[in-house]
Amino acid sequence: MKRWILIGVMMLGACFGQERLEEAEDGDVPVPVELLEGYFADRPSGFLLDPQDLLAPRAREDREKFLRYHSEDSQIDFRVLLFDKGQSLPGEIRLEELGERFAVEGKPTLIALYFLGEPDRTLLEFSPDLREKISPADANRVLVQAVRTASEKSNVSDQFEAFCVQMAIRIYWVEQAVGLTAAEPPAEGETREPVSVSGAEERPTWKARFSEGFAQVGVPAVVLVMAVLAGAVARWLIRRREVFTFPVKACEGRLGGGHGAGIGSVVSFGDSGVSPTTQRAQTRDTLGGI
Amino acid sequence: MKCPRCVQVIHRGAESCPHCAFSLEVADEAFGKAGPVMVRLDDRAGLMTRVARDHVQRAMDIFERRFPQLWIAIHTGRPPGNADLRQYGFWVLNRAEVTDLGAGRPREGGILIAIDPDHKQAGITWGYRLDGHLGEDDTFLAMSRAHAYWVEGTYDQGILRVIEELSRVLVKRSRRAKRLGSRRKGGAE
Repeated sequence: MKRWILIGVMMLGACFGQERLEEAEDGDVPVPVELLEGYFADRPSGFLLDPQDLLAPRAREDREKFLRYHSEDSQIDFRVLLFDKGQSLPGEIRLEELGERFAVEGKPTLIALYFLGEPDRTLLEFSPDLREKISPADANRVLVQAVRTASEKSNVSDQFEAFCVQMAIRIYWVEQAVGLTAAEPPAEGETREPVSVSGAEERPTWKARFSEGFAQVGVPAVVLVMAVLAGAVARWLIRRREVFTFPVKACEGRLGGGHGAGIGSVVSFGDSGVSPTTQRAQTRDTLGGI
Repeated sequence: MKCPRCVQVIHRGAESCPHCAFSLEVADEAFGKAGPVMVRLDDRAGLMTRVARDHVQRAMDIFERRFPQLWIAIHTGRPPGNADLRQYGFWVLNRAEVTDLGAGRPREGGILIAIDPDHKQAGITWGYRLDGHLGEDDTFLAMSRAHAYWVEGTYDQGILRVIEELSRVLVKRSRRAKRLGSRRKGGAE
């Protein structure tokens, strides 16, 4: 049976990490007792736990969708317990036990305890197998980058969104580092982060959505496009060879002409200043168009 | 339908213009009873290079492939006696002997583009096969597209634009005629 271990609060350095832990413990507003079960009871089905309804329904739904999508796309689940600003965790709660509840079955999981408006109080837990392969310094860097990105936003909802997105990106590198993906882990002596933070941030969600959408409808769409193109080419070929005829009727001669008497316009082009438009009305129709 | 001399509207079956008494006989008196012997691309004024003539000839061939009942002739040069281009075009269309006209292609399907480089004028005359399908406005619009090229002296480019525009219009008219014919057949049944 897997045992989940709290690897601690991640800081910009060991000292900072200690300060953060203290801050997390320093929250002075307790979580309402009646809501504790929503956080710490059995393993929940959702990826975002917000029994206090701190997020607007739409925002909560969006974050839940995002976390679910991340779970489908990643070898490591990411779950978030959402607390309000200044709230403190009950003293009797052991985070190790919390991790065990989440990890009874299923994939390796990373759990974040996130305090709205206070991203720097965030707590992280890794599963034991992850912890064996990731040094505390690297784990700390994962959290610090996500916290830093979140702190750049002014709105608490935006902060949380940025935090989730950045964590998902960081988890991608964690997967590589622990060998959960086909990609090569970083070479010895190299930093565990293959690219800079800004580079990682540039991974657009639309690209992932496009990939997902293409995987679902890609082949039919390509077939459809090819069919339309083939149809267009066939139509062009047919039209290119198409001939146009006019109904044959008895010719009614005029002015003694045996072949034709269709008199069209005469256009003068001697003066570039005289446009064709000015030559349009060439004669007066005195018979009223008989 | 208009008279080539007084440009007044005349009746379809008029033997001569009721306004000015013009007819082919009158034109014969001015230009001669025997028409010119010419090929479809008759650049007797020497307005185009050989390469330009090849381009125009190719466009004419394509036109005739798409419209098997029709043909196009280009005639450049000054009308005898500085005559009016409409009258001259009418006379050439009816009297000319076109030596390279395809066998089986009706004379009534001709479209003559006459260009007088001395007076800087161009006109279009067409055969009976296109009565009701081609109008004065169509020829005016076609030559309007060529106007800028002719002003610059690039006659071949202007002619190509005229052929292109006439083709576009005639494709529409042919389809319309086919639709109308189908409706009439349907109505008769």
